Amino acid sequence: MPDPDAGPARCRPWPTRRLPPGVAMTGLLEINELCVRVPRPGALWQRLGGRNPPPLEILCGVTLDLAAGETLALVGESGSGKTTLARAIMGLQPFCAGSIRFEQAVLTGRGRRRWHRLRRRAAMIFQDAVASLSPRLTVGRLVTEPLSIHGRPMGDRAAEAGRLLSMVGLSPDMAGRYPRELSGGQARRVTVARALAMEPRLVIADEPTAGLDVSVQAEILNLMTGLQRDLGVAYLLITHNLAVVRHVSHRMAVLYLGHLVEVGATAAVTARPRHPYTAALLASEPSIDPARRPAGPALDGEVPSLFDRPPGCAFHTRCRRATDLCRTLQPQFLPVDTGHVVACHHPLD
Amino acid sequence: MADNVLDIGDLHVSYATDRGPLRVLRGVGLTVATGGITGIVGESGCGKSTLIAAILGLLPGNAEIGGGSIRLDGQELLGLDEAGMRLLRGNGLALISQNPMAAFNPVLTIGRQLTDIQYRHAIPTALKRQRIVDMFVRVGIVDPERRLAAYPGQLSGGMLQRVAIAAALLTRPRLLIADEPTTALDVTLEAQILALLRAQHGTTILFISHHLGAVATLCDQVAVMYAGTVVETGPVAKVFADPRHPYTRRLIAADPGHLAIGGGLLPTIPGRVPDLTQPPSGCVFAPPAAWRWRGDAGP
Repeated sequence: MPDPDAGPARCRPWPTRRLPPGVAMTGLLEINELCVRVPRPGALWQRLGGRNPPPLEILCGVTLDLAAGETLALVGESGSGKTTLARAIMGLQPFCAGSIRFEQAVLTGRGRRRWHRLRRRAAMIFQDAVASLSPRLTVGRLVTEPLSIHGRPMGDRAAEAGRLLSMVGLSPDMAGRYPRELSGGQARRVTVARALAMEPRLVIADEPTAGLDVSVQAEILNLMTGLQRDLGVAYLLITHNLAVVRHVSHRMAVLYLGHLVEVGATAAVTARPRHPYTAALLASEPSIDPARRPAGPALDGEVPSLFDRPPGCAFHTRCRRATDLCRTLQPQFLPVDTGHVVACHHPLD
Repeated sequence: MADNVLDIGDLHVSYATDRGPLRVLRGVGLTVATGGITGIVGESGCGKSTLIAAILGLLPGNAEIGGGSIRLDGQELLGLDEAGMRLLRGNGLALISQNPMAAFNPVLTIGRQLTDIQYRHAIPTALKRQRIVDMFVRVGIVDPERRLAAYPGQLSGGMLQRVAIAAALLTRPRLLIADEPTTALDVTLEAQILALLRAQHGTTILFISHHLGAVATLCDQVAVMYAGTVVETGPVAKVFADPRHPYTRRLIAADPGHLAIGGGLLPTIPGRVPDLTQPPSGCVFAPPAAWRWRGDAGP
């Protein structure tokens, strides 16, 4: 009998819990101590050989909340677990511990119907817009597909497609086109239209402007903020572009190697970052002003491998403030200001 | 030695298409000073990649050079035969591409590939490997000896881009062309790579990017391209602080990095790039001139 904790398929589902009646919900989405583990590659052979390697920890104890109509930006370098978190919220990635609560319902790794209900109220814009559109369906079919999947009556399908396309600034004539006939910006608009087809309360946007020109990026961001104003939709925005974060998000959360290191209002965090990693990220952003050229890179080295996670604070290998305490003890989240929390033994002033 | 390593004058390139010739470059003029770093910015389809391909002599078969000149240290590259071009590539000219994963052969070790590119040097292999190790130290690769035995797939994207830069510098190029070398990298790695390129004193670099912040950080001179022409050129500090062409102004205004505080709508560039099978006569940016900003003198 193999170890039940080893693989995601054998993750123990968190027991289903409902809020007691009468308890008010504050957030639209509440993520509590979420952990995602996957087995190490090659672990099967090692297990057959009698050894039992520990699983890789992709996300550890992530706690986040998102209010209705709010934009929360999730930032971090490649491999920090941003996309895994988004996939876990949408039920595309099993998790081992912790809970996700969306509207009233507690979501677990179990039960297709529950996830099906969630996806009526939450939608995802995937990172690669062209790859997320089936090449065999027309644009009109693609944007109305969520309606037919969820069995929502839509009257005239062509009219509904036209309405959704004009909402994102595309001509209704585009409904007959195939994804290969679209430019990058147009494909991105189609994915936004499809995400909004079910009038969701939450849209998870994974790098919605990666690879786009600045003028097209500005159009997509304007479109998203305009739709938020009109429809009251909340965004979980995953990006590593800090200029975008500063421009469109209300709050931001910084992930490093699967741990949240800082969460707070975007204006407060960008003006006065308290975690050394956040400060380094902000300082690394190339400024458009040549007079503000940095003397050197703010951060040396690269994100450590998940196979070799540093003990204590995961950031201590690159941190200029690290002490012996950081090398041994993992820091806990501490509030530094209203709604501003940081996980660091030696936060910046 | 000439003042300018690269001197491009009135270059015209078009592609044969079903709808007639697509005039991708229409009178591009550009110089790169010896030891200087020149940036080219512009949006998709403005002709950046065609310009690089023209310099390297790697234009696709349906391309036609309609006129102009490309001079490297005074030597005319247009009309040079394939043998002459081969002598220049990886010797006079080196390229760092956007995707370092695609720049290396996945089934050969890093050490083998970087030894192979030194085939012009008649020195023992041990010496070639020593040159690689020295270059790795210079570009900030830790544990260089061990990296020689690694395969490209075993290195991270940022590390592999450093290896690509090391490979380019090993050939001691007269001109290093960096085509969006930081686009695929995280912001912290981008800052490291930009600092590394800036530290290569004396290496002449042509840096192509659509990231205005990266160009402002790295380059001395900048050329702004739009629809196959250079619409504005000058020192980076001057062009970015006081853009004179309405397109440059719009491009800088649309970059969210330019705004200190968030919220509100970002300025966009309305209209679309003209169809280059039928380029308009006169200023290519003229059709949307109705939205030209008040006070703009116009080109």
